[in-house]
Amino acid sequence: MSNNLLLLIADLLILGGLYLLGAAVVIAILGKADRIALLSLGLGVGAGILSWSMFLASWAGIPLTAGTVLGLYAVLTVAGVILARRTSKTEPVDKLIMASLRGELDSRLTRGSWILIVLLILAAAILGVGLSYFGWDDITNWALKAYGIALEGSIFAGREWGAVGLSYPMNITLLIALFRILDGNLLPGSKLLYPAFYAALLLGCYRFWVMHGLKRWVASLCSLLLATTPIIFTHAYMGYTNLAFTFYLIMGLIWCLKSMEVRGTREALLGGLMLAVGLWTRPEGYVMCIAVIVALVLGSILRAQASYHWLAALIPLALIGGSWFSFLRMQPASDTASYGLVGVAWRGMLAGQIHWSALFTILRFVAGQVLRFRDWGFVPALMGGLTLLGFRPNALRRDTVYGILLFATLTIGLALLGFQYVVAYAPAAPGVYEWLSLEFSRVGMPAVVSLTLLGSLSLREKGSEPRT
Amino acid sequence: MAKSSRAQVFKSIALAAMGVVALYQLAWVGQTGVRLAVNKVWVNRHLDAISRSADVAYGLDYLGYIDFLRRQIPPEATVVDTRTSGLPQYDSPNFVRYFLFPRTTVPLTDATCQGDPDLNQCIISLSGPHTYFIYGADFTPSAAISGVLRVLPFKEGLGILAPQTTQVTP
Repeated sequence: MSNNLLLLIADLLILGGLYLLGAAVVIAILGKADRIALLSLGLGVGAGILSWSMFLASWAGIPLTAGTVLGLYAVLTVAGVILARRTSKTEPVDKLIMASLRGELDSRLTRGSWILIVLLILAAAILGVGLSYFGWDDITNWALKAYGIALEGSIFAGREWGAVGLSYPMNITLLIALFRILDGNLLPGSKLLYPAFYAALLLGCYRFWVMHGLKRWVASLCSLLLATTPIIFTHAYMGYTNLAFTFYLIMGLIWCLKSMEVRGTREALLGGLMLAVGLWTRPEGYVMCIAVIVALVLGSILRAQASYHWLAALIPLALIGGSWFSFLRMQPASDTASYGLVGVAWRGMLAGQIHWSALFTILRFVAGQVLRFRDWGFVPALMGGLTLLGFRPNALRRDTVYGILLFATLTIGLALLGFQYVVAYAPAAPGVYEWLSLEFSRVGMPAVVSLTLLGSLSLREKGSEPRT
Repeated sequence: MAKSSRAQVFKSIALAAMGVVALYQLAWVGQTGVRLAVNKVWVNRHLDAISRSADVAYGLDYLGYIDFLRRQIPPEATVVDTRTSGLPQYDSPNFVRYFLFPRTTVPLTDATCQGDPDLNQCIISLSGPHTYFIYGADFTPSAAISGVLRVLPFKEGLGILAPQTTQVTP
């Protein structure tokens, strides 16, 4: 058997292991979960929990070696499986989604869309591994830092290896390090993470649409539309972390929404966990999490009967976010520069220092982006149009999901613009236009996916209520 | 009734538009993907991950340069990047470090040689049995350097200054 084939098998085993851990945790939290929910959440949850545990272990002084990482994994997985067995209910599969899925499998459009999506996922996997790491940031920010951490067996190696010191959250870094530690990442197998997040995002969105009244083939078409969005497909094989972050944020939003619909503590806990891992994936994660929470609060206020189990959602945010920010507080100021900038901008704005020209530049740039096919295809224009045409003010009160998604799209969009605007306050940063040219298209992904979730709701079957 | 049929028409138009857009986007990402798969993945299938990175990031010349560095500099060596090419892919410490991993790579900064000596003098003062220097077109090795270090030119002004004991790999 060729060496590369053995490496591929080892890499798939690592991914399978992460999925197993995540699936156990999802079942432990939800009590029951349908296969699509498990497929969409398993890898992301397992990856986030293992990388966070590696971070805590290394912070506590435990060296990150193959032995310690596997030991940590074994402890977490055994605990997850025991908890899952204790909490799982007798109905392991969501009857509704599986039954209707079987019924719709005959639809040529559903099958055709998913065949194309699977081909895109496979293509992204081949491109991801075949091209290896090649972007500036994926080499200097993520891969090199991960290799340094794997070499020295400590997260603190990240200060010397790679760019941005220790200021960026380490979810993806530690996952790449995991592959490096376990099999050398010689393929590099860690590039399989990106198509896996791509697939998980598409499945999660598909499930959301089906559960909210879209026909299977319509939901499949929406998933295909998302899958073929140029920048989303590019990030399915490129080593940046924006797609993984988008996955966590959008899944966090979807499960928090679900918890509001069913008044469920378990769903809130899962939603909070996804948001927390999002915060643990990108530096702008905390701003985006706040944006989602604001949307949920607005939704609760507007629709008084929608209860929300805040505590359950806040527990994972407090644990993961708290540990990360405590860690950052102990690092030298240079390591936390990207977080300090928001404070600098905030103080500047409070002092009445408003950069009008920067605001104008951002708005003009965003207007141009909406029509920029090579990044966004026609998705923002199409989904923006659907949202506007399908907008009914009274639906904000009547329809929890619609209202909160609308708020979330707006708050995520505003947070995104705000995150670009703070650059105007950076003493030694590039100009706002240069920054936008580098950053905007990829950090804009959550806003566009949220807009797609929202716009597609206009295609719900008449009279269909959110299925819970 | 009329309202409901209007909604149906709206939905049908929207779905048709989505279908057309999805297929158009599919064709676009498909041709981009096929081009990359043929020109980079298939052509480079015999290369290791680092070499594939180099070719995809900056093309064949860069791949040649990285392969040259990896052939000539042993993995346990310390590499000093003199940052004298004027191009980020050669001068960025983190970028070069990734391609030379696991070699220890240090950038030559203003603080490296105290007292602001000539770059040739600075390099000579830092030389050692396991220390290699990579240089670019903005630097010309002096005669004095040739006495202390072995000059291994690549092309277009790029090259390595290696310890005299180095065995040159063809």
